[in-house]
Amino acid sequence: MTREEMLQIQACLDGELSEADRRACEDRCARDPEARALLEELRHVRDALRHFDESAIRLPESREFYWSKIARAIERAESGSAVVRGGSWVEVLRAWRRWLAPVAVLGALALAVTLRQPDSAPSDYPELHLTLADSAATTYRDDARGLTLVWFTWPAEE
Amino acid sequence: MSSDRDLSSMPDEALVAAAKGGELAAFEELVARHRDKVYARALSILRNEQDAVDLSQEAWIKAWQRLQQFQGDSSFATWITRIVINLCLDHLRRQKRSGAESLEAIEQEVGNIERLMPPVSFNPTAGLERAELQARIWEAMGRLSVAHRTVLILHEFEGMEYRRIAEVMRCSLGTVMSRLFYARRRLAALLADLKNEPDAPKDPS
Repeated sequence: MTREEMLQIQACLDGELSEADRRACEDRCARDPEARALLEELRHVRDALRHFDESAIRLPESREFYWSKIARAIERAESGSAVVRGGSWVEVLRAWRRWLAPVAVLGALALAVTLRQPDSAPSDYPELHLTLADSAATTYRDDARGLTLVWFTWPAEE
Repeated sequence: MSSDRDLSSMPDEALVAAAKGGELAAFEELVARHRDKVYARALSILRNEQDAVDLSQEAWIKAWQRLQQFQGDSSFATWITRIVINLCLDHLRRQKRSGAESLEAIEQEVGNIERLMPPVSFNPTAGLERAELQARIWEAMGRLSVAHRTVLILHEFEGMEYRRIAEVMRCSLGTVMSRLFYARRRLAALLADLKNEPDAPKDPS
């Protein structure tokens, strides 16, 4: 018998063959004592294992002791994930904060350029502009002197 | 509230639903109910008590974390058993990387032995008392390589088809068939040998 033929006999026993292949295998076993002997051996082992009762195997620890380790691990994992979730939120806020200062600078510059336009009506009094409330960037403009100052805190105030 | 109910009388499905809602007491009841089976599966594959205890506990922790994914397509017992089997196989793969016996190591070792061995011409378990049959099968399974033992367990105890075993063990269909074939032939020879040995093997329990 070839290896493939032997595996075919096993597949026949396990119900893994098509109907046509199964019939061919059974015919082979009926007329070939070697194939039949192999089929019987495989069948004996399969049947023996099917009688094996694993319910006799018991966990060598009490219910309480066994559970306590699981419960502790679950508690640890859940508190850990809460910390991670909290940490992530803080990170997001910090990332946003990092962008606020450059945005404030750009906004202030844009404002300064706009105010310097020649067609803008001159004013007799200096003006103070708070460009972005959150950024603490402030513009001072004095048309009389042709002066515009922009100042801001860096990094943005927490 | 869990204190208002007798959890031990509730079916698995109700306990799973309660556990999905965050009721840890319901999950504890599931653990109490199935812990022996989960441990037995780990022990039958690994043959190491402490590893089996540790991995079975790890399986329960994973089950709690993934409980929302359990849709009831299989029984809860089947689901948790699949988790512990996967953990055992991962554990064995890690051992392989560290140089211990691998899942693939015995293909070369066995060579063509299965072709040379004549079939055992008698039923090696015939006439045995139940306890003795149990003990001999346990002993013989313990003498198989882990790869052969695992494929037998998945096929005979878990009822998996070849294709499913190949997925779980991450190997080809041909490898599954080959391992299963060798495992059975080897087990037949071991059971026949044990029948002739004077000292009875130890009972698994």
